[in-house]
Amino acid sequence: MSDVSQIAAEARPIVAHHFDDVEQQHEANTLGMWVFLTTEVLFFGGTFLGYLVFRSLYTHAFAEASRHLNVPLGTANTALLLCSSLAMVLAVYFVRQDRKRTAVVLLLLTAALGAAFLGIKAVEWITDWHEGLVPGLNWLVVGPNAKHEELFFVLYFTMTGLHAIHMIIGIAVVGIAALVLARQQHVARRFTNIEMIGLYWHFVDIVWVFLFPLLYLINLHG
Amino acid sequence: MTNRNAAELRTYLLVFVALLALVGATVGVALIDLGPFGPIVALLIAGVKAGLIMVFFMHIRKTTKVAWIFVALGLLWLFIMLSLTMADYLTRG
Repeated sequence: MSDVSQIAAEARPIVAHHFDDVEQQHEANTLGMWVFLTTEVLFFGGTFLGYLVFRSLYTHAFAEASRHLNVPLGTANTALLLCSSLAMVLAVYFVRQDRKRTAVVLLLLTAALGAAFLGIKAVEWITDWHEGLVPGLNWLVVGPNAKHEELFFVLYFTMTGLHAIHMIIGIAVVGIAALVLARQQHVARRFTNIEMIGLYWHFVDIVWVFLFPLLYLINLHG
Repeated sequence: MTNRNAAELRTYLLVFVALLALVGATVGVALIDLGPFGPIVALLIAGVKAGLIMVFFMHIRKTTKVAWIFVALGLLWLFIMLSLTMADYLTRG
């Protein structure tokens, strides 16, 4: 960025012309983000509904199928995402304090933890492939409940796959935000933007909070 | 750093520790045979975690009433979708 465009970017009014003041703009942005997240709740809700219906119909097969998943890796991934959410909320805090360097580092940490999550997820998916747990493409499970176990894995790949797409988008957005902030003189001007990105990130974390027990933790005992 | 800022940072850390403890709890509970209550307890713990994240990380208390309505509506529609569908499937002969 040239010096002139740098100055232009800094001088650009913080309030868009269709808003009265910063506060109104912040409220409108927050409302818009929550409306989007509401549609996301219903979007993921459909997959949860399918899961609940089939789990209630094929309880035993779902418990059997769930045991193929790697609980330690799933637990580690849950912890990783919670760490990333902490980094994100701290990034929002330090943006508000106008502490640029700390905020940028925390955003990069958030993205890195998200990438680590996806890395572990990729290892799990590759293992699933080698164990013949991929419905339609490489399904090697046999037994009386094999068809219903296959159904569990269809839901597993759909739900974790949709979640992973959200993670990829989140990592890209958080990474770009870190680069944009690094070029700003006063990062506090970008507080609303970063807070909205944070809302999205925490939402994706919440989705995983429900996916983890539903997919990984069915009847570990016995 | 003011006291208020220090308190805010401390809250984030405490909530984070609570969330990690709940992860441990949900794995621990899965190892015990609770019969039909197993999934219910797992979902309750997940609900508490989601609540902690929404209240303390997403600052839902600081948002406007209109935003509250949308959040509540999203959860209400989700509840209707899940409960009425399951009411059907669980009561079929």
